[in-house]
Formats: sequence, C-alpha cells, structure tokens
Amino acid sequence: MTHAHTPSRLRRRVLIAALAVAGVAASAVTANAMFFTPPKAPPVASSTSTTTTTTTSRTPAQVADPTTAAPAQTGTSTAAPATTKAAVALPPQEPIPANAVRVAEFVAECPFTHRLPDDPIVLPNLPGASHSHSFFGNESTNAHSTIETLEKAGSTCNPKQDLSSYWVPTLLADGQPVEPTGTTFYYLGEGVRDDVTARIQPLPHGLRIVAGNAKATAPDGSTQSRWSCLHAGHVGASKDFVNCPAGTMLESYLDFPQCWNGKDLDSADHKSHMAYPVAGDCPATHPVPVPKLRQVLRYPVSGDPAKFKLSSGPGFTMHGDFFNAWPEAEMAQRVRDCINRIVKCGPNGRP
Amino acid sequence: MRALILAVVLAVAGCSAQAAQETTRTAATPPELSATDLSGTDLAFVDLLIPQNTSALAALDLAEPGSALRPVAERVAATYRAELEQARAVLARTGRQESGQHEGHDMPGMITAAELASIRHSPDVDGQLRTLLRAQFEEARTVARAELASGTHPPVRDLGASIDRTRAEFLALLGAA
Repeated sequence: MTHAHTPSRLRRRVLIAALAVAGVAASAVTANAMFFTPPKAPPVASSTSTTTTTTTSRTPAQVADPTTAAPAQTGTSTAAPATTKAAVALPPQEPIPANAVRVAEFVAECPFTHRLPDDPIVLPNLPGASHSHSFFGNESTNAHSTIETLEKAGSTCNPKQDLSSYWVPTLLADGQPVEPTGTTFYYLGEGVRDDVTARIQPLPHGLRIVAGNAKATAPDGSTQSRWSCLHAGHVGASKDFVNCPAGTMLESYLDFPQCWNGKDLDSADHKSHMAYPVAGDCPATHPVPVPKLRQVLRYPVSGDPAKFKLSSGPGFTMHGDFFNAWPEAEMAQRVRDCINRIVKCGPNGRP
Repeated sequence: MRALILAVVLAVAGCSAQAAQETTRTAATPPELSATDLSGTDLAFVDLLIPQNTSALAALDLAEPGSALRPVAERVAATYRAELEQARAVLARTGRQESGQHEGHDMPGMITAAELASIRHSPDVDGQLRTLLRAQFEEARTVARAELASGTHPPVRDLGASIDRTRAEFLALLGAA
C-alpha cells in the first residue's frame, strides 16, 4: 500500500463509515429476516402490574423469600440474589401507540471503547492472560472488573444508562486490528412462543455470559455466530468469514442464550447457567426466559476473507462476552413495555 | 503412589525443597477446607496453566537431538510436567474438574497446532522453537505475576511464584544455550 493511495482510501473509509451509520439505523427486523422467521401476529397486551424482577445484594431487605433463595454454590458459580416481586419502582406504563411496530425489541448502541488482552469473566484478575479483546459500552472494563466497578464507570452506549460491558475477539485484517463501526446490541423477545415472551424476566443484574465457541476447530454445529455482508444479502450467511463486495461491510451476528437457570450469575464454563430454548420454550433445567441478546457488529472491511483473522483464530471462533450492568429499573421497564408487550422500542426504551 | 510420582518428578525437576514441603503439607489438608479456598482467579490461573504447559511440552519435544537447545528443552519439560501434576493435584483436592475451556485455544502463551506444524517444517527448528518458547516464558511470567497479585489459594500462589522464578531462569538459559 503506497502513500499515494491514502486520500482515496480515506474517502472510502468515510463512505464506509457513512454506510455503517445507515446500517445501524436499519432495524433488527432485517436481522430477524436473515436467520429467523418473523414473530406471529401480536397478542393482546398482557397485564404487567406485577412485574417480577431481581434484587441485588445492595437491597438486602428485599431478599426476603427463602423459598427462592439460591443454594450454596461451589466452583465459580456465582449465586444470584433471590428473586422477589416488584422490587424496583417503575414509572406507570404508557399505552401502546397505534403506530407501534409489533416486534419484541429494545436496543443499545454501544460503540467501541478500547482493546485489552483481558477477560474479566474467563480470566478474572489476570491482566494480559487473554488474546486481544475489543470492548464496547462500559469504558472501564479490564481484568479486574466487577459489577461494582462497572456501575461506577461511564459508557459509550445509547442509552447512556446501559453500563454493561460487551466484548469480542479483535478482528485483524492483514494483521492490523479493525474495530466495528456498527455496534448494536438488540434485546429480543423472539425465539420462544408468544406466551413465553409475555413472561420474559429482566436479565439479572451482574449476569455474565459467554456465547459462541472460542475454540471451535471447524465451522460446525458448535458455531453459533454468523458472518454476512451489510447491503449484500445475496452473499448469504456463513459460519466463517464471507467475501463481501466492495463498498459493503463485513458483519457478525451472535445470539446469546435466553434461558436462565434462575440461580447463578455465572458458572465454571461461563455458559452452563444459561441455555438456548427448545421447541419455543425454556427447558426445565433453565426455566427462566430472559431477553435474547443479539450482538450485531459491522466492520468497515470487505473483500477476500483470506486476509481476515480473529485474535482467537478463524472466523468460526467468534464469541461474545456480556456482563450485565443495566440499572435494574431501566431494564425492568424495557422488558415490561417492549418485550412482554411485543413492541419495538428504541434506545430510550419507548416505541 | 501418585504422591510418590509427584515427589520424584519434583526432585527431578530440581524444584526447591520448600515447594515439595508445601505440596506435602497441603495434601494433608482436609478436603472440605479447600473447596472454597480457590478463588475465581486461582481457578482461572490453573485452568490456563494446564493447556499452556501441555502445548509447550509438545513443542519442547521437537528440539533437535544433540543441539544446544536440547538439554534446555529437557529441563524445561521436566518442570512443566511437575507443574501439571501440581495443578491437577490442586483441582483434585478442591473437587474441581479440568474445564478444558482453553484447550487448543489461540491465545498468548499457548503454542497452537498450526505453530507446531510450522516448527516441524521449518529449516531452522531450534531457531523457531526458541522464538516461540521465549514468548511462552514471558507470557507465563505475566500471568504468574497476576496470580501473585490477586490469587488467594496458597498452593496456587506457590505455583505462581515458582513459575515467575523458573521462567526467568529459562529465559536466561535460552540466551546462553
């Protein structure tokens, strides 16, 4: 690459960035259409006057129901506080507008913050022990992060109330790190039957999840992530990198599991406290339906996939880590108004 | 029998008498005390150490017989095997399974299958091996120091201290060999 090419490369990057903004503006309905059938006709809005949510250890007075208390845990399983009813005061519910889009969704746009060879979920307090991760949302995330440190820091997310941390292995193009310019985190009610969607609970505060398979050795059934091209749907989705036409963007989709075991904020493998739904419902082992986190990253690169690599290996090793630090009331309101009622909301949690 | 093998391996590896005593002492600790002693950091450290050492052992095997690197590789391998025994003993004592979550994982301090294949086909096996080993020793030191800074379980911290010290020795040996 010579210096003479730089101005045209710059112009192209500006164009790509503009495309990214346009891409972010596109809704998750497009995303849904790529891999999933759209939701059926919406049900009548369900009553949400007894919204159930989760307490934290900061409000011990609310942790009162011994029947739901988590059993003593060993290993790295972190017991969640007991669940209780109506622990978080929510604003009154507004009626569904006539023009509402009936898709169970709210969203956070969380631009790139920083890179570090750290992983506070898998390698807690071991800075430098990981491959390079690209972080989004919370600006403070490092090997020592806990729910308490995340709560004290700022975030790049829209809404800024979302203090969660999201991270993925860094994408390398010809060995150089490339960060996504589209970084959308959808919270969806799809993937389960509508009656299950209606009783989806907020993701527990402090929940940690790793989705995808960082050590996949082939693009097989163990791969959850998908690669595709923004504005070039004809290329199709693949478990490994795809060749996107010039002017389009390489994009990565990853769906997190949406059934929680109701007890643990984490587990030894950082996965087994969560499960994917079976036949439209959550399995008995993981009975609590929670919103499905769909991570959509759009990278300003295209062309021959031979030049791409993740810091974790080939494209099919794509994985995502999520550390939930949404303030409880913010998430509970969105789950009540957007997910349970099957209404598409924006970053502000309103239709 | 297992303790005997461990003791022999430790002696062969030239580990300090202090480390051997530590192992003996903690082996006698009632198991019910240990289960909660292992912090998330301790467990993550052990979980990482096992595949790192295993992957490095496969590479150390490739040192050319008769070369200056060969005796160094043999000394390193003995230490790595002893550490594997120690790490697995800690897991067994605390009732943990080996998670295998990093096995075959492309991350710092891990010598991948692709790198092994590359060494095998290299015209300069020892040269390439030295480069990979140097990076492995340095990364192992970084992680061991993080364990010393944040880990809590004494036997795992001892392992961290031993790794910090031996990797410095190995780096010096690589320079001299």
